[in-house]
Amino acid sequence: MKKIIYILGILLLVGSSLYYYSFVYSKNHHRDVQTENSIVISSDSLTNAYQNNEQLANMHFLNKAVEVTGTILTINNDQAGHKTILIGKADAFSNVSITLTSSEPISKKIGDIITVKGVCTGNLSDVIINEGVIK
Amino acid sequence: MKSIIKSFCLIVFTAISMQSNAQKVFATKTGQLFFNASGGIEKIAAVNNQVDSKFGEATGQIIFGVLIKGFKFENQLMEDHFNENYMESSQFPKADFKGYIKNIKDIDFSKDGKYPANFDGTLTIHGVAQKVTTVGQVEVIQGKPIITGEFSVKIKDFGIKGLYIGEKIANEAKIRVNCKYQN
Repeated sequence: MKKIIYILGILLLVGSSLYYYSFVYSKNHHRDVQTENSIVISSDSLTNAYQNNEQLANMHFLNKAVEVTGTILTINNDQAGHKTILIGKADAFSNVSITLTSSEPISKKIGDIITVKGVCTGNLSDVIINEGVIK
Repeated sequence: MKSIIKSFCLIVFTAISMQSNAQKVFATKTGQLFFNASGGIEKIAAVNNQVDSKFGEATGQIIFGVLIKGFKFENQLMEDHFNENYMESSQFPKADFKGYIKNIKDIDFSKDGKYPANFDGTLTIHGVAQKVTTVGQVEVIQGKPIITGEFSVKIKDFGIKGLYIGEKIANEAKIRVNCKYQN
């Protein structure tokens, strides 16, 4: 009888731990890119890497924390209200599009140099950085 | 004098011809795509706020592109499983739709209103391309179009494998698009 209670207790503990991790902890704890070591790079080098060889660039940057520096070309909001910044060169075919975590107004303006740390999610028309925080 | 007038007329005619042939292209880099594959009591839903899309007003040619790692879930574990176990996003980092709005001529971009739109094209997810035909809507507000639409895809049609498909995860995922374009 003691053995059955012991086994049931262990099963209950394991089950509740799994439930807590899957549905409570994971819902409230998201990846924090800002605590991770980042690849420091200029916006031009990042876009060039993707323009030259997207597959190779993905191997280096996809899902990695990057700290990217460049000139602000546009400042906008996306449809969900997040602040977005495009950095790079005005005449370039592709630039770096960053979505910031904060929707607060930023002190920098178009033409200023800015450094943002975020996670690289790949390349569409521009290289995309998510969860950006201004450094 | 005659030759000057002739040259001037030629230049004006050429300029007018070029203008009439030029196609207005609407574009956005911050469209929204909602994904829902809830199969049971558990909500399996995500949003991507960086849909890259453009379409031509004259031809109706349209493209949507999304990065798989750009989908945000409420639950981090779910997001990790989505990327690693199902979409294999390191190997297949993007999905796209390339096709046409077949009835583009029925949409008057100079007049505010809601117009039904018939989409026909190829949807590529997980490296697998499938023909897709669906109906959506183009709403024109002050010359700027908003495309909305919803359609379902059978997850296994795109070579996506993994546990729980057909159980906790629905066999068919609902995709909802909401893109506000600039010109």
